[in-house]
Amino acid sequence: MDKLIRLFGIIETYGISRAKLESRGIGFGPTEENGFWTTSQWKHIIPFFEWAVKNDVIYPSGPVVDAGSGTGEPSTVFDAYGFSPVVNIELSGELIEAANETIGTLVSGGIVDGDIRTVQGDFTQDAAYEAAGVAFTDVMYFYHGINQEPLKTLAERIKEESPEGTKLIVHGMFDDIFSPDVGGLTLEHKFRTPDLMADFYVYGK
Amino acid sequence: MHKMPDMPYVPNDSMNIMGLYFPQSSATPRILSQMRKAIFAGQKADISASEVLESQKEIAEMRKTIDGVTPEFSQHLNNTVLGDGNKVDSLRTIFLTYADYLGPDREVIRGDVVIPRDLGTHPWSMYRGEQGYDSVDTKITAEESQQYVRENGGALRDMGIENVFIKTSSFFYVRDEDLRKQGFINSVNSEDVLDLDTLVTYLADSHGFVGLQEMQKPTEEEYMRRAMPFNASRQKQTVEQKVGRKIRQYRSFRNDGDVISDWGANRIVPLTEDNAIYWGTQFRGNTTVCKFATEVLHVDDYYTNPKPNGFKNYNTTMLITSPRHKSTIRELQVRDLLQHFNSEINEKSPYYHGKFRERQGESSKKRQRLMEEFEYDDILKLMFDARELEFPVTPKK
Repeated sequence: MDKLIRLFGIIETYGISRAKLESRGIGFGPTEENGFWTTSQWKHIIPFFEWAVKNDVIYPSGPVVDAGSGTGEPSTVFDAYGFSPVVNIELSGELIEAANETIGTLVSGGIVDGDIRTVQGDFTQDAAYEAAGVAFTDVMYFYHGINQEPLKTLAERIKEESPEGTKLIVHGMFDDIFSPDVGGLTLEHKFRTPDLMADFYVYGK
Repeated sequence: MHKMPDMPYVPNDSMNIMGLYFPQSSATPRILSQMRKAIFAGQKADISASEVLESQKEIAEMRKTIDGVTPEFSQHLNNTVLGDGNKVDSLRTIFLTYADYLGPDREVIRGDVVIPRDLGTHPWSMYRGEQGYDSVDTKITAEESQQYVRENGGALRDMGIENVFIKTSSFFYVRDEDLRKQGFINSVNSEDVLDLDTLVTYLADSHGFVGLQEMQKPTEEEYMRRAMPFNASRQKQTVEQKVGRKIRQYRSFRNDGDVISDWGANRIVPLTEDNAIYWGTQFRGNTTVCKFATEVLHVDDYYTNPKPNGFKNYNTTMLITSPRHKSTIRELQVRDLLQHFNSEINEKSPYYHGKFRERQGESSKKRQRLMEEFEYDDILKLMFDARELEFPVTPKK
């Protein structure tokens, strides 16, 4: 299956799943497209991946950890681009349930065929990584939709423990005044989405 | 001696295939141009997913623009043509949907069946809100088809039909006065009864089957005796299929007449050739249709220069503007009843529409195979949000 067809299969499945799960009272979190930034907008995630892979900012490899993965959208895009294994770590049990059900549908439909693992836990702590069967220090790419406090802790751990070349991708809306606090990691690339509503900063150790 | 490498022919288009709807710099023309070059060069070009996302947005917006104009423009055009400039009393809207009847293994039990619905003389309130569909046009198609399947579930089931797969639809506007005069509306127990199934065979190609029954197509003599002038309108629901056919065509796109202009279209079918020439001439220059101003971009006048097979028609591409709507492109087709009969209904005619679809050369087939192999057909469906409408026939209780 062509990558593009796979990506649109993912988008469609998430759309169906969202409606189904929300009717059962299981939340997906905010998804407004009225100008506010949220972590799960395809029109932001997909252009970033296209740009990053095309320009060799990231290479299809792994392991990848989506730290604070919510309903897991980025993990499926990582999978479509050939990254593996991809680990989702999320605190909220409700969001984990939504992610598991949607990703399960994608796997059974043959749209996602890689190794996506979803665990409930705190991405700043080793227990979550152990549950996923991946050592913190083996992770090549960390992906994070910005939440300042835990991000700072995660970045400090990367700075101290991860090998050279480990990358941290932070998704948010940034400017000169507000930018992620990543405890001394080096900003290597900046990407602003075509609608100018979201930024992806790629840091390296 | 070095042999020169084979250079594939890639058409040098001066206009983009969707150039009447989207500027050259926007995502849709960019993607279509990439696809066209790739299938002529025989080498797949990867289409960017973010461009497809952008294109989906553009196309959805354009569809809404066309959709928003259709009811009012059609109403005013009907008044102009069928009401001699005044509001027509009792202008009836007949809605025709083409569908395939599918059996238990999804085999086509009966293809291209026309399902008629009489929307009455005041259908315009149905045109409010698309309610989750991509257009009001699709909403009406879905609702009317579902209603038909519900009403005729038993009979459909008896024919072994398990699903009804919807293909296209269009609106036809006819005067009640003409329907009475021509015997399609008859008074039964002092109530007007419309013979809808027979009427359909005079409006469009029934393929010999209307709704639930075999229906003979009229002969030319019968047709010319009973047919009445009408107008029609539709939003092309299969525009992505036409785009797919066009991008693999050999001839390059040089002007407004070569590219797609009938996403939203109206048709005027008057009684005689003289009437057709009159209306064709009326819309040949810039004019107004009530509050709509029309600016003519291109005219194909096949009345002055008929096609080699004899077909006569006016195809006018117009930019229409009004204070209440976004400007948009519409195609206006004008042809007299006999031309309509021979192009749409009469299978023996040299220009019966069904004949053209069958012809396809080897090189065209090769390019079609490449479209499939490169998965461009699927990408076009994604861009145009070509969702399939299919309704199950409920089993008997």
